[in-house]
Amino acid sequence: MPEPKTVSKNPFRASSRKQKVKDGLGIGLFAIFTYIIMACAVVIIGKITLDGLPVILKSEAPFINTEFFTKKTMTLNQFDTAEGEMVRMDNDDFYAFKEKNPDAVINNHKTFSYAGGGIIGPIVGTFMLVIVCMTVALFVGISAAVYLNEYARKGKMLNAIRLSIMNLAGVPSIVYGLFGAAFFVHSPFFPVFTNTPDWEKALFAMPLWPTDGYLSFQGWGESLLAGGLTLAVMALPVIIAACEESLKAVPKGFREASLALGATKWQCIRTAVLPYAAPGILTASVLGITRVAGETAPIMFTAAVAGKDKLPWEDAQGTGLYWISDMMTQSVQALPYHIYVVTGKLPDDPALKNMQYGSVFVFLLLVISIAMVSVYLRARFRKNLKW
Amino acid sequence: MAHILKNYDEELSALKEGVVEMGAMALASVEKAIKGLTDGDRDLCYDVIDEDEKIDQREKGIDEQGMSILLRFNPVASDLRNVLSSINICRSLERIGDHAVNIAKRARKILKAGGLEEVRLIDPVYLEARKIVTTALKAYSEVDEAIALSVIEMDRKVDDLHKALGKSLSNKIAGGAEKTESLLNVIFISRSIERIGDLAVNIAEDIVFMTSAEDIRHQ
Amino acid sequence: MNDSSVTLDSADAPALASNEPIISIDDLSFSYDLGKTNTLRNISLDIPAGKVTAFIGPSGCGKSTLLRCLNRMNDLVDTAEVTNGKISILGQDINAPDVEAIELRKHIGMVFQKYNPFPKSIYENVAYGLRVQGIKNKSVLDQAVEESLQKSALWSEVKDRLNTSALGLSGGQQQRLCIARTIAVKPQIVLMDEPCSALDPIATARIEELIAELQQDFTIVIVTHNMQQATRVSDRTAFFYLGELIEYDDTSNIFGKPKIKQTEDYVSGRFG
Repeated sequence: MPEPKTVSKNPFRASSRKQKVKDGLGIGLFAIFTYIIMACAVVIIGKITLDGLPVILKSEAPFINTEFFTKKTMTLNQFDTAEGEMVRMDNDDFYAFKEKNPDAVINNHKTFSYAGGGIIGPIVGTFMLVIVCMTVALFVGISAAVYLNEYARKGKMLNAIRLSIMNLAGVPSIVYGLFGAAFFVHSPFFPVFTNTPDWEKALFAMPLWPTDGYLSFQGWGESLLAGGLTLAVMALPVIIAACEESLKAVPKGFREASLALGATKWQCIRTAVLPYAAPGILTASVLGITRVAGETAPIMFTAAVAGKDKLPWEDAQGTGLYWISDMMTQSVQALPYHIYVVTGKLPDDPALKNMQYGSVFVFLLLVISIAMVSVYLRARFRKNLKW
Repeated sequence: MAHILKNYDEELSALKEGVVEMGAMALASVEKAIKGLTDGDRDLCYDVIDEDEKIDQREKGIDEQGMSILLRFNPVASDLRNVLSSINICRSLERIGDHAVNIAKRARKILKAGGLEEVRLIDPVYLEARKIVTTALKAYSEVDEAIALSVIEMDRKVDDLHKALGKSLSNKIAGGAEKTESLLNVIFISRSIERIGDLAVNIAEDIVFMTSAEDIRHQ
Repeated sequence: MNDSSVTLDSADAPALASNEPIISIDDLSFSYDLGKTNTLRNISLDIPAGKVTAFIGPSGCGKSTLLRCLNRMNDLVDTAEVTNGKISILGQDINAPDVEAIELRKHIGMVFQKYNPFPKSIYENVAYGLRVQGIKNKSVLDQAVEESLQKSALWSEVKDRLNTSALGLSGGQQQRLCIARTIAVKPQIVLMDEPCSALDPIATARIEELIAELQQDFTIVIVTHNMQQATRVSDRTAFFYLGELIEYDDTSNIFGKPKIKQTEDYVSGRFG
């Protein structure tokens, strides 16, 4: 019997070496780029952690620098003592020190605005902005998404509306900032409750009998409301899109079953659509809002100030409605803007480093934890709601 | 029009072919028995008795085919009637085969007893019966209701011929003719032929059910 | 559900004639695109009360569309409209301006192809229809839930876990739950849109058995792709093709001796 001509009897023999090398190169290239991105993330987070973590930690119990979280932002003083030792001190400590030791030698005294004390102001400001933004954006966003997805007649009009919403998502944040400044801050259409209307700005003011206050249409000025609403407007496109996705993801069967049982459209949406879209809506919206909350440009002209001695509620005047109104029309500090101020606005100096990296690190932690919470919530909801 | 399932069509036509073939076998069997009788050929008679086994086997085969179609294709409407009728028809054909055996057995006895002049009288009855069985089979293979209905008419003639033959032979027996036993056998043969005609009518009725869904039995 | 229940034998079912049809469709044409093309064309048929009527036909023949016309589920499509003719249910033109689709649907239940219980408890699923009608009385709800689950032959299987999620049930149980949910609001008519197409043969048989039971209390209209199922469960069968009603007759006739060749070709699986 003649031998078969095939070289190898194994039909599953590996392909040629050349092919293998090509394959390896391709895969290697993709892998390298992936690792580069990972490396970037590691470097960024690592750098911030390395420089920021020491700021919020200290060597003795309770090991956390609580002052950084509880003190207000203030000026940092830097001087050399008689012994030539360089000392940095917050403003209050500095004055206390000077009072105690009136004769102390202070050489090379330098001050750095906003670089001392803690960041309670920016943290509170950011939180309040996010709360205002979230309240407004969720309410308006969900309403709009429900209307677009459930009620609006399908057609060219609806497509046009969707397209314009999509376009809004692409508008640069500084544009929103300017819009917010023009609309919420300076235009007098937005009313405040106040005992002392600003007669120069106010379009008109309505006395609110029997109190001695007014509902004054004088605009909000640079304030929590103006900033929160500007952020909300910016978050809306993302939230509407996320809500619509979540609504679309609710099986058609639920709607049909509900309607076939004689539910009205609103009953159907309320009992058979929204509960099942809620997890998606909430998590996606929270993520969207976190993104927006990190923006500096929209609040720069509308809400944020570099330094402020009092928290909004400490500064609010009046009682009841007037107090709330006054609190909401306070300008605030905010973390992203604070970072911008201590990093970009002031001349760079090693003395600023602590405040820069401390703030950035806290900000990063904040954003990451919000994102984590939303991811966790989504996972939990998903587990309970499967279909 | 063809079925979407090619297999279904193939099985249906195989079933039909089987029935037609079985009809040809049964008919050939009767033919042989009659030929044996009229030609005085006892071997032919033995052949008929032996070959009946083949017809029985064919019947079983058709039953199996029919059942497999019912099982696999769940036929409805005309297909369902087609399968049911085919199974019924092959039942009738098997009985025609049995009658051929009866005829052959009686022919053998007549021949054993030395033959009989009167066997020639069978011919016209047989020819008429053969015609209607052939017609019935034709109606089946062509799925033609009109032809099937004509079979029912034709059967009257076979009945009449059988009655006339029976009468004349009984008269002969009553008149004291010899070979009474053989004469009686001829009457029985004629009766078998008449039964074959009736079975052809059954077949025709099945065909009418198959084509028009009308059940015309026992009317 | 009493002992004197009649046995189901579609062949024996008397022709409707004497009693008034519960659904009367008269020369109905229907369009999904504002009348540019008619999905249903000039359909006329009367559906007898207390019977099971099956709609059969190839995909896209309009049988589901017609079913959805009966409880005006097509209202959900913005561009859907009845372009001709009318549908009368219990003597009332259901597309008349003073008819509210929501009220109509309380009388005409619907069971869908893919079982779609809400991700709620078994109890809440069955009570849903009553709740949207504003019934809050716990004992009324309890009773309705039990009764519906009994009728849909699910009670014994779920009575100990009414408060567990409906999604923990098997597919067949979920579909029976959907039937329970539908009959809880006590409709006169139950529409079923291929109720077994997502189920295995045993679950399918259970549903078919249930249909036979329900027939005593409800008029049932069922769309099915499974012709064997139509022969088993229905008294009357309507065959649709390309938006037209081709033949409508007793089920035994449609599958035994259809009068029209198109029907014959379809039911026996031949090319169109």
